Amino acid sequence: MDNILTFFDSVDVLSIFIKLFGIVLMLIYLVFAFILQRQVVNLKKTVQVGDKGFVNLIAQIHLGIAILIFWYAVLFL
Amino acid sequence: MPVLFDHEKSTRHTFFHSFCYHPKTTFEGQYKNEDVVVTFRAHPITQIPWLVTAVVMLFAPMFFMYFIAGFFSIQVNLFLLLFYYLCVFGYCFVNFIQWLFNIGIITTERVIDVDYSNIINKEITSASNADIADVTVKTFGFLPTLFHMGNVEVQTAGTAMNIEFRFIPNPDQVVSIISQYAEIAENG
Repeated sequence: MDNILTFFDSVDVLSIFIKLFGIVLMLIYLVFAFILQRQVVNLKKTVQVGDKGFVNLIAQIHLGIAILIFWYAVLFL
Repeated sequence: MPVLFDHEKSTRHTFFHSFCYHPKTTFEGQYKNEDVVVTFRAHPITQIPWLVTAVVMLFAPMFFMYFIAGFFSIQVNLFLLLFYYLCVFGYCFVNFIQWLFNIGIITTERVIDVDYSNIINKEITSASNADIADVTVKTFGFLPTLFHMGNVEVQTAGTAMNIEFRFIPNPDQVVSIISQYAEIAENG
């Protein structure tokens, strides 16, 4: 018991919680961004909307930003 | 003898690409000699609610960051802000592709309705022009009358599913085009 209390005294529990929370949040968002990107590819196969790849590009930018923020959460939180 | 809608085959886009005459659109399962006559989406005015929400969401951090900034470190605040704006971006993008891919297509052979209700559900319904029994337009309310939009219901004979296009621009023109092609299919 004393060991556990000493551990919680030495480590900032709140910062660990925030880091884990941020990583899990970003993992969930990454799944969403990935599904969205795949769905855009599928939809574009179904109907050619004549967007010259613009929608695909936006989906990839969205996924890319999500990956960057995920790494930010891993490294800096 | 009715004058067919597509007697001149020039491409024309109206209502911010929500109503396109003879677009250069192709779709999965298109027949070799099947031409796309018209494609249409929901009227752009129906997108105003999510656009307004997005604008409000863009400026919301100016208020709430003032209150929560003191609780966390700079890194955490930056993460929260980045995540928040990513969510706003995602929200706008999902709404935009829902509008873009919820599309109605009238071809020389059939009527097709592509429904994309959320990010994992996609439904495609089509009815041959020969199977179309009745086409109805419903315009009700202040805004639909003002912006010339309405719902079009395509009822099909037999067991084929009925098709409904909601809040589309120029609904009476859509009815007229579908009726013309249904008549041609019926007369052979």
